[in-house]
Amino acid sequence: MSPLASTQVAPATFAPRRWRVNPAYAFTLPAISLLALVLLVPLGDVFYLSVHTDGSNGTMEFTGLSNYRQFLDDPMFWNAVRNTAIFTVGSVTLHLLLGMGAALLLNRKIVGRTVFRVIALVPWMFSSVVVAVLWNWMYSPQFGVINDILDRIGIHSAAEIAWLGDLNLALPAVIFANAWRGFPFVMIMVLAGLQTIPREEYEAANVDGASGMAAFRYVTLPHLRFVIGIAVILDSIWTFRYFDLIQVMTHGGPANATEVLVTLVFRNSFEYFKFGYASAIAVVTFFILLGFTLLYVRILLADERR
Amino acid sequence: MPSTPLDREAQRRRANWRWLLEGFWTYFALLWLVIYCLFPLAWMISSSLKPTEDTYVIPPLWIPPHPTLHSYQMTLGIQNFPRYFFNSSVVSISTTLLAMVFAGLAGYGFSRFKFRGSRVLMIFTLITQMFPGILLIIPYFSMMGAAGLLNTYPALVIAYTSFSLPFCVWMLKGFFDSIPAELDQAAMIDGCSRISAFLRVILPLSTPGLVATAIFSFLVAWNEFLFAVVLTSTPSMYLITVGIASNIGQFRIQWNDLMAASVLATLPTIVLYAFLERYLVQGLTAGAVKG
Repeated sequence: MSPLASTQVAPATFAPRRWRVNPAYAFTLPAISLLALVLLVPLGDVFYLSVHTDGSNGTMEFTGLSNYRQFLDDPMFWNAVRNTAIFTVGSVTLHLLLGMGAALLLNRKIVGRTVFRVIALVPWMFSSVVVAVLWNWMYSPQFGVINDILDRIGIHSAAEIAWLGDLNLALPAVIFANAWRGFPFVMIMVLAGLQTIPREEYEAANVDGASGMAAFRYVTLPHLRFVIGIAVILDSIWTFRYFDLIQVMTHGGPANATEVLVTLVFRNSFEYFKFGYASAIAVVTFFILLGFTLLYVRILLADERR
Repeated sequence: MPSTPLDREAQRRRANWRWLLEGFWTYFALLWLVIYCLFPLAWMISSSLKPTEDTYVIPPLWIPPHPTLHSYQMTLGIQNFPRYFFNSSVVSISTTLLAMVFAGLAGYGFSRFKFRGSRVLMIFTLITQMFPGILLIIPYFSMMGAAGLLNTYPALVIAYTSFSLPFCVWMLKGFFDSIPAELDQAAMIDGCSRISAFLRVILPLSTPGLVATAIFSFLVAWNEFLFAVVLTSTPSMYLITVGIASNIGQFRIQWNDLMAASVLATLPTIVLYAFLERYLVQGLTAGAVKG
């Protein structure tokens, strides 16, 4: 008997058919319509808003593409594009390095592996707001523990560095906090990938006289390609649209040094109430994310077909 | 070339030495990993146990010399935090219940029926997960304003349910896929309707998946910040994340009290993650039905 019995065509009868809902729709429609209501309707609305400008009396005037022209000339927009790129590339690179390193370490035969794995997951268990507040406190110039550590290991000039108040240090400081919070995700993915590598391949490499490095290069990495690809794309999407950490830690400051696209949209909408202008920038971020997403779906589907 | 016993002895010793050295470096690296992961947590707890006069000392005190629970008393007794915790609990629990109902039905539907557009709809749910919240909040804010739902629980619960749905639907579909469809059919032959086969036979077999779904959606709601900060403006409706974040940027921050609030806000998430980890592993490795 087919597992998809419900798709079988009912025998034709001449009796008037009783109207009934296809059970497939009855099961899936509640979730789909909620998603459409909360995610699709606003999406359309943002496109609509992006070609309108907020009038003086709370009305929206149709102004075509003028919002889009306006941000192209806005240095704040290009500053946010630059910061977003640095924030995303920096965070994802650090996540990858730390996550790979931790995964390879935790995949070895060690005593108490489970305990170590749980400990390495701890940073991921914090809410972004708590991470932001906690690192804000650790970065405190006078009373913060980070300057104290630098001082203790002999970097005395570090005394009273205003990490989050310095134009050049604020963005790296936020990236370091994000590196701590986010690397366990890559670690989990890589650990799961490492588990799928058959032992025999390492033994074969050993017989062929491959060194540890060569075994890593020719056995481990090829097996991890898919997992790392997925992890990098998902992490890029999440970092690109990551709002909480920067908003709470620096508010985009000092002097817009940490302003990224999502905080710029927030500021223009909920602080300056320029909803049309903010929507136009939001539309741009949407298309960039859509590019990442299509890549992600393609990789997933390609894997499914294999 | 035949090796003499002496050669072999030397080789073994060298191998032993290499093994010891490798072990040393492994545990040395592990030690640093543990310090890196736990130091901020330790600093948070240490700060929360200090009286105010020990909080602002140069250089900072790593171990509180006069540990006190005063900050916890302040957080739980005097400030608004009990209210924030209450709000977060109401919103998170409601989100969890709604997400389980919607995702349970949809996951079962996608698992058991192949219908026109089912594949497109599955990918649609996946893609919605990628939407940036900042894009949705602008129109969602005006929609909720028009509906008079600003500063209410439903505005938050509806949004959070839809955020957690894609992951939950995909996860539960995976769980239901691992349960043979013959079980449903056997139940239906025994006189169950489709829905009661789902409720009485399939759901009880998917407990690990349901638990993981519940914990995931709870955490989505408990940790969310953007929608919470936009949709609530009266402090009595703040969620815990907004309550904590609202301290930053104030003229003088009571860091010990704020760290105590952070510890309290983090406790439920760490406990739940510990559970999620177990169920996720169990669910992914064993599948829901054995034998």
